[in-house]
Amino acid sequence: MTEVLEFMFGSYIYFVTAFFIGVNATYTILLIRSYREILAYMRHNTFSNYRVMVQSELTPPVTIIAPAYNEEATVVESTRSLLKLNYGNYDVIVVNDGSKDETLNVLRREFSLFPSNQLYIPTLETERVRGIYKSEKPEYRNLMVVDKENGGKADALNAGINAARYEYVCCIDADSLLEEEALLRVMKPFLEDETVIAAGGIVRIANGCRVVNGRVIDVALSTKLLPIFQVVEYFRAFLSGRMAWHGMNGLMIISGAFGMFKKSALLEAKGYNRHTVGEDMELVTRLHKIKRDRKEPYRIVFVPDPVCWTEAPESARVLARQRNRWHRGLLETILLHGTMLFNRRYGVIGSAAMPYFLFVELLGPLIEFAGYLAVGGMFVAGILDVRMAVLFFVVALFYGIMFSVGAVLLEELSFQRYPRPRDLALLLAFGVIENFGYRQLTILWRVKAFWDYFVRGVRSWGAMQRKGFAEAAAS
Amino acid sequence: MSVELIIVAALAVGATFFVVVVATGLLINKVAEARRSKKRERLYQFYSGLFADLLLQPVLEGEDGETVRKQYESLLTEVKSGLAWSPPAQKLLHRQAIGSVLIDFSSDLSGESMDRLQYFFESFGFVQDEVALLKSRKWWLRAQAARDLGLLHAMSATERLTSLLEDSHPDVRNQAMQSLVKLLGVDSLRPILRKARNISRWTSLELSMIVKNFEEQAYPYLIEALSYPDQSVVLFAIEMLSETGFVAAVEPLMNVAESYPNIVVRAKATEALGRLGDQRAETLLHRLLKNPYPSLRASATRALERIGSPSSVPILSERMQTGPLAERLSAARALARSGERGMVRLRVAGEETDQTMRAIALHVLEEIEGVGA
Repeated sequence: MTEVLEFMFGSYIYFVTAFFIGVNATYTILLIRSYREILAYMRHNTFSNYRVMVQSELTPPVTIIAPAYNEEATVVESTRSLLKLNYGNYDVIVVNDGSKDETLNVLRREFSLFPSNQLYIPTLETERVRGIYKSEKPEYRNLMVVDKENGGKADALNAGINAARYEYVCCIDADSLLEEEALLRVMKPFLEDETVIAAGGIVRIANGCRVVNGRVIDVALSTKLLPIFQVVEYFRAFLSGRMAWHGMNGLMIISGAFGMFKKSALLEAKGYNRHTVGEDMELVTRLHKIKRDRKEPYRIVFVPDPVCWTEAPESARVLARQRNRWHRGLLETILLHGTMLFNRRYGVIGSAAMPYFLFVELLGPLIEFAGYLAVGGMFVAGILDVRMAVLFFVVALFYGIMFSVGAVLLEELSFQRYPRPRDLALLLAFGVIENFGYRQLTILWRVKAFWDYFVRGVRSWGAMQRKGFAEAAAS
Repeated sequence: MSVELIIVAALAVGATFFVVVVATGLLINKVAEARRSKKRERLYQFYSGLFADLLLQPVLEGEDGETVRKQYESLLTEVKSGLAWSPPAQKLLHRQAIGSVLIDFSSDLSGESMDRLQYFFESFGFVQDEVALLKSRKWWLRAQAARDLGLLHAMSATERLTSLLEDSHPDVRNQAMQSLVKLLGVDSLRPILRKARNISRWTSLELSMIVKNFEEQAYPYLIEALSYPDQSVVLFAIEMLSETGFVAAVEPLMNVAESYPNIVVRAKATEALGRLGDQRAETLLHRLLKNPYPSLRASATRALERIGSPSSVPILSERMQTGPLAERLSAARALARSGERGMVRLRVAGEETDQTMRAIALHVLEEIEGVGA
């Protein structure tokens, strides 16, 4: 019996070691590629005069779509911030997705909305649109509110796409704040290259920042632990992950919080998938699939400096729900587009990006979780080489820290949005601390996502409580 | 000690080394950068004051060029001797500060002061340095040099900048373009438009600002560009001719709209005719409304919307009845701008039983008349 156990655990440990080496080699490659890409972007940006985009009448107009569900606390401030962006010609469409709270009424009151005769062409299938509202006030003439029955975020975005009148649509979360120049910056790749069909910007965490009139005016870290952990995580995801995939045209996700698309490409793809919780990733993967199936030249890009500020969960309960949802979304996307996996027809997507998302992002937590169980089992069975296990843990720990520090390094080399040396020291420290507890917790949440998806059959979003930026910033 | 253990330990040491070095380096750099930045600012302030004085010092007027240059050089003696005695790192820092000050001053100066500034720039060897950088293999250095040469009005670099219009990197081409405009004025448009290939929309935006600044002076160059072989240049010229409202461009644009071999270009020219709002184009636009190409029909409808002539009401009413929704909407908008007869037709359509027709009419009426239309 002991021999069998020893063989099983031993084999698993060898597998985990091989997996560990593979994952860390991948992370290293991504980090190096990101560094190169960010450097190239920074150089290129030195010669970009965004003023011409504001001044020239040739700048293409944009429609911003912000779906809102029970967002009465933040929707007015977010909408106001969207209406104040630095961009020539743009519309803002807020889609009220059948909110049960006062979202629609606060919008109607604040922006003097009236029921409009605006023509609505339901090109993409959505839940019933109850009405379209526009503002009586000339200063809000570019605002439209689409009121519809509840159908989820993807459904609301599709309704917004139907109502959009311009070729470029920017999909954002109604609870996010865009920086004044964000639209200009995310739009630039479309102007430089006709084949760009989608572009994503960076999402940063607003908790701890000073927000005045819908603008982040002082960037700082939160005083609470969870948001700081998430800042480091976001650096890793955006700066050292997406930037590298962008360089290979292998970007598989554009965050739902902030992405710009060509409307024609969205219509070609029949809009967002209404039956998945990871609609942002699923859409981008589908766009890749469609374009590669048709052998059409295209690019999906990531732009690292147009910032979208978002309120991060501050309680473990809400964060757990968010991570659980993200992981289920990833799982659904991989299941839906499994045919692309290791398929040479899909180029870098099929041969690198999808395998990465499958083995590293999706199965990684499961393998790591099973690794902890195996170590526990071996210890109980008395067959654990404690010295080796401790050393392995130390290596894993330091590699985890290395990639966190690497991501902070990328931020410091490029955008330096956290000006205080104290904040930098804190971020570096949290890159270390996160490996003791926080990392394991997120693994647990993500493992639970498998259980929820396959066993409990959970397909819903779950609620996210918002405090509003003024309050969130204070924390 | 087993081999596995040694490997694992080596990995741990490697990762630890990386973390410690990077983290320490980052923190030290953050503090050092703050100091460097303060120092750079101090130097910038110092040289701003110094060069402001040097630019204001009187020189003998009416003297020949050589004498004036000698006077300019005498103004720099002190600064140059100071630099000569500085250690290389310090010298570099000071030269960078001087370069920045001179470049920043260049945007506000003209006449004799600008001549003097240019002389200073040359005398410090900045022009030679920048010209040498134009040959660099690194595109960002070429682009930077192209930009600086333009800012400093380095006329001697015109030829090199012109050749950069064909550089492999778009940023270099754009910077060369901007600099040539500064150096040659409106005459730069000819080489720029002639050498341009597949210009992106971004380049179009930058060029559009240049063309707008030249106003009607740009007109002959744009008309000439209508016959250039590169389609993107032709499209740009059409866009700008309509954007800047050169009514004299109606005839050439009508020719393009009618007979250019490419439909995209014809459609663009058709829309441009609408923007110019000249009724001479009306007959052609009516004819294009019946063209088999949908893009041409759509462009003609949009053009008629801009012109807003009552004589178009019958044909627009007809277009509003059938066809793709976007075209019908466009025809309704055109009707709304075709005088009282058009509005009456639209109001009638607003009460029709045909749901789509009514929706189109109400939509357009609301756009025109606002709330409660």
